[in-house]
Amino acid sequence: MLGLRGTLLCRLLPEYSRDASGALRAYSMYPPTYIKPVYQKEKLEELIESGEAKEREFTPVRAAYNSHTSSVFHDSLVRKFTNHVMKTGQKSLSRELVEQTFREIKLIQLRKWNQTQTPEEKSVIECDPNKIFHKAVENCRPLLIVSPIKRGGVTYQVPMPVTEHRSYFESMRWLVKAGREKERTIHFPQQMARELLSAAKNEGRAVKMKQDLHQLCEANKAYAHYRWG
Amino acid sequence: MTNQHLLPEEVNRRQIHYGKFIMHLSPLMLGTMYRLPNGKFRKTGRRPSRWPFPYNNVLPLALRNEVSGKGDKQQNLACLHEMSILFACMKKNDFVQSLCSKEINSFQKCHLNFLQAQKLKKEQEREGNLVPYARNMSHRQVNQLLKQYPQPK
Repeated sequence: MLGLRGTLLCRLLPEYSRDASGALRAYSMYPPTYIKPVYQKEKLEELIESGEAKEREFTPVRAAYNSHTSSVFHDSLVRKFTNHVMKTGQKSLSRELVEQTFREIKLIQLRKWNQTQTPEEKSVIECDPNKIFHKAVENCRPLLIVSPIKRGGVTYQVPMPVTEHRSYFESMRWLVKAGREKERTIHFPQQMARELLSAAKNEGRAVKMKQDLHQLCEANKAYAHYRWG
Repeated sequence: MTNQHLLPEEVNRRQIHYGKFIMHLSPLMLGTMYRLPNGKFRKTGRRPSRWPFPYNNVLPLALRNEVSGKGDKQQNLACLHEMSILFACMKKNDFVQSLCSKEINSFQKCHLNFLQAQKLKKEQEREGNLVPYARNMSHRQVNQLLKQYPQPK
């Protein structure tokens, strides 16, 4: 019934459209025929190789965001993280903070690299802040989350498997939270760099938050069968 | 009083007298079970422990021409076994993920499979096409068929 109503609404009102997952989305600027733009060079080459580009040749494309760029320095996860750092839409500030964080990581690692003597020890030290960031985010991703479900007047914290998207969200949220918990005299990029470095080593507050959640899930495992659709 | 020497037909007809009460050996008739022979209840202030209740016709005794979609709601209870295995491993290894990579992989694989199956089912339901000789139908398909061939009145 809903599906039927959805299709009807799509025809009647242009602001209703279906996204890729089939869910009804209200007030989209574009009708569902419009596809999302591909702005990464590698993905474009992939599409050309797989022959999918031929199919997309005459499909109308949505306008790209101004943060979509084919620069070699672009990283979609870093862009997402920048948005997590951002407060009240101050994107240029948050971008600056993330860049400073990366610079801080680079400086810390280079200092360490210069202090070590043997080449074996030097080879172990990772000096690429981007790689450290990715490792930190991966290490903070939870396997399970708890969701409050009310049964018989009592709200239970029910453990549930987490989707990939949500796990990245939680991971970056914890990292930013850990970066913000600091002394007033310490600047955010410095604290954030420390947190990212320790998270990359599976230590630190963000990883602790993840483990706390896992422990909560384990404690509430008896309620696992309470979850529903 | 023993009724062993009696034939079944006679047992049915016979009644056992307990004081003023009459016990029927035939199938229970709730309307008369608690009453005195004159059709009234005793006046001792005692009520029958089980009141005969009248049949209450709440819903019409006919099948509807539609089914609700409630039964089709997919249970979100997948991967419980994998989850319990994962919990056991995590607890044993003090919540160090690297020591439970096998369990984690199997759990995530199970969840991914479940999500894909759910998505596929949703898509098929949305299309709502009637498949000839299909064993399991969605509520939409059943409703479509019931619309074409309603219940006889």
